[in-house]
Amino acid sequence: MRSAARITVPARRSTSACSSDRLAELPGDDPARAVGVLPVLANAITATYDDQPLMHASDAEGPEPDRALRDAAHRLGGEGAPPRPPKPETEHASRWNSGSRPTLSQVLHANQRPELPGGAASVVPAIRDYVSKPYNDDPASPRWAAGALANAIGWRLLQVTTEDGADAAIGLLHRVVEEFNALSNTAVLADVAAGIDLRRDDAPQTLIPLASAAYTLAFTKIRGGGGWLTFAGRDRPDLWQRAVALDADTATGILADQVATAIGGRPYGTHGVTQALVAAFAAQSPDPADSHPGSAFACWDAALEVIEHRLPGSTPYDNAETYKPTTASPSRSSTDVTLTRLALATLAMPARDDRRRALVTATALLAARPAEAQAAISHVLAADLGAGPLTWLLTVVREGTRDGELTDDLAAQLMLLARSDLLSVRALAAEILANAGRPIPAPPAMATHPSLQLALADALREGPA
Amino acid sequence: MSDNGKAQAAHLVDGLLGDRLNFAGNPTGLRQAVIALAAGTLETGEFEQLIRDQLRQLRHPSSTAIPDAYLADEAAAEDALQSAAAGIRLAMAQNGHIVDAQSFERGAAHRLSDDPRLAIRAELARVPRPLTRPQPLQWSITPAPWASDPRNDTLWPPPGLDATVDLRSVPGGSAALACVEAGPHVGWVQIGLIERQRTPPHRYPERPDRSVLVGVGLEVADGEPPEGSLPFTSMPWQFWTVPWQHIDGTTNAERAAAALEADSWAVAALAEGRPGATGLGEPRFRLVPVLPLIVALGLEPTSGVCGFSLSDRHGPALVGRLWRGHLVHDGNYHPVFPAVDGADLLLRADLLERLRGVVGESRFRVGVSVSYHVGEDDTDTTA
Repeated sequence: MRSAARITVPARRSTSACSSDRLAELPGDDPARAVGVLPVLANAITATYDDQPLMHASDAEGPEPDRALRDAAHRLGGEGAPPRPPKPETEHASRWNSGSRPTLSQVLHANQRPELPGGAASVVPAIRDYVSKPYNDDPASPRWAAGALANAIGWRLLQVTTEDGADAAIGLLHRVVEEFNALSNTAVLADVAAGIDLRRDDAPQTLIPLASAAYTLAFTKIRGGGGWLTFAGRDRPDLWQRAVALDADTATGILADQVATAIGGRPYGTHGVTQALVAAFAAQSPDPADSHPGSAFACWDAALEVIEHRLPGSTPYDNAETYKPTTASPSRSSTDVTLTRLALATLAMPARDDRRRALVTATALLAARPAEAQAAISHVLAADLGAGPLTWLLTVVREGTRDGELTDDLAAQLMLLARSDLLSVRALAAEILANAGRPIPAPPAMATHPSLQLALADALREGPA
Repeated sequence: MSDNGKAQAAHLVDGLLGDRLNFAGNPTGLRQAVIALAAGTLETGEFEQLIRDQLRQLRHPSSTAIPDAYLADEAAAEDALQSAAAGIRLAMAQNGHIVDAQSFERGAAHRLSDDPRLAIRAELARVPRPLTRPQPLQWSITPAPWASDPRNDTLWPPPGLDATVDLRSVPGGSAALACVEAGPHVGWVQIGLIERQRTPPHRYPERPDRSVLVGVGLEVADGEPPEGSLPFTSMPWQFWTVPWQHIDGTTNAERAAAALEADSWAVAALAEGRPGATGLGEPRFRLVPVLPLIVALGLEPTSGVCGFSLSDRHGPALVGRLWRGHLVHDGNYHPVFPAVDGADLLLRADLLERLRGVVGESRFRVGVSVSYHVGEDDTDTTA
């Protein structure tokens, strides 16, 4: 169900591979295998990678399909996205690289690593030197090597831990992250954390909390969403997972401090924090003993209050269905129906490809998960979608229920539609009911448009030519 | 209702629904009723607000491009048609013609409704763009290379195109056909391929629209095919979904084999258009195998959920794949359009052997067509 819903959203490598793996794990007797749905889903998921911009557009270019995704698609009988050929080398006439070649002194400077004395005192100068890189310097120059900076920070942190203890090292780590600005390559912080983690067995009592702190600070300092969001969020939930696995108390304490710092900091600095917390807690609860993502839901519900507070007094959607936080865990079946409804909702989006993908999802789910699909479709058919979308969805229902039964909910909705004032809608609804052996209501006598009535009367009076 | 609103509605209805009304035999008075109903909708404030919101969502404020979307105007026309058509039966009754309600409405809806089946099948047949193509066309793998840097004109026309633009067939007979290298159809032979790469006119820097069209099709002929011709014929798309006996009851396996042995054939066909565009849009290209091939190989539509697939008693035997993607814009960032649209036909390798036994290797030709265009009118500048 989740994999089918994935068709209707843009390419995202992690969810694509996850969706494909879920499909591959379906048991051999699952209806999805018998009706040939899996290759269709695999192709639909991997084809979304072609929906990325070739020219630079206002959206990010997105990920490339990788070999793991291709192999997963092949296991399902899908074609798999072939490796992308490299783009031809072109000299881009960008203002960033036109007429601004590095000077000789810049080149000489970039080719020498900074001289750093030993000890904690030289960590900050090392970072300040690193973030001072001019934009037109070669990033591959020795001075700007991220690995060298990771070593310069990491080994000094270990030295401070050995000499002064974990608390002092964590204090220095906080000083380290403050030195990076918004445009810096903060991925080096994840390398520092991984380096400490690798050596944690040398002094577990001090290095495990330090590694946990390093992972947490990396999660909060690396920017997500292509640099637009505070915290790494969905891009790097692995950092938070590892931090909690090592030392949950340290991780949660530091994360709470960083959230408070973000709130108290510069305007707009909180953009992305809530979604990062939801993503982090969905991947790993802050309490390692509790696997339920209750904290993620709690963040979501808390965010709702803020969103409601910020919304203006009235909206055109006041009468629409609104989100209400639930306290009880939803059942698997209701979650599946909800996800199907979510996927089918794209039928109401204006873009034609969105609408087609919704109908592909409906086709696949009617064959593989008929009960959930019919429950969701009966809800969608109740919406005022207009003649076109209702006709398309009803055509899919007609093709997908030829050999099966109708649920009572769907039959009841079709009974209503069989009395619609739209010809194609009521004719199709009646046909589906008839195919299932259900009673069909008589089509209503619709008021005729005067011009049609007059023209028909004239034609009949004149008789056949 | 203003004259201007009525004229707009008439333009909309004729453009969107004209073919469908013609296919239904232009029921008396229906067009006028649809125009009147649509005009009423187009003049409402709700319609104005909705279409403005839709366009604001789908395109950059400075763009005038029409996004590939089913917008409120199209929906208004469709609603008007179905609403007006729902009154035909009562109008007939009021004039003394009583008909069976269910069967009349089913028949009228069949002729007047927006049939989405081809669009959905095509979406089911969509695959990530494959790189499969004969060796001389490998230059076309990079999608629209000229699009990536509007200031750089060294990539137009694409390097490598010149060597193929005058080719009509690839030497080497059927051995020149490309084979699928990985995935569920590994080893299958590509007997047809068509792909267009296109970029819209660009504003800053100013640049006209550009397109490249490549086509490859297996042909059966005694001599070289005529220069300038396409390596395809045309056929109804329904051969993918309906057993051939229901479409052409006059042929049989012997006749098909005899035709393949004696006549000249393009084995792949471009699917014929159909009356009435659908609001879901349809793929630019769709390939269909020709009838003698289907009959001679004993192929039937594949059951279950699938795109374009025909099977024999051993399973899937011939599949049609479609792709589109690599989005480009006209300098306004949105809306974006696919730079690449394509389709191909894959035949199981053992069936190509069987076909070779019927036709003879010496009569196989791998037809090619390569062209490129600059400007709105698609004028071929290769001459």
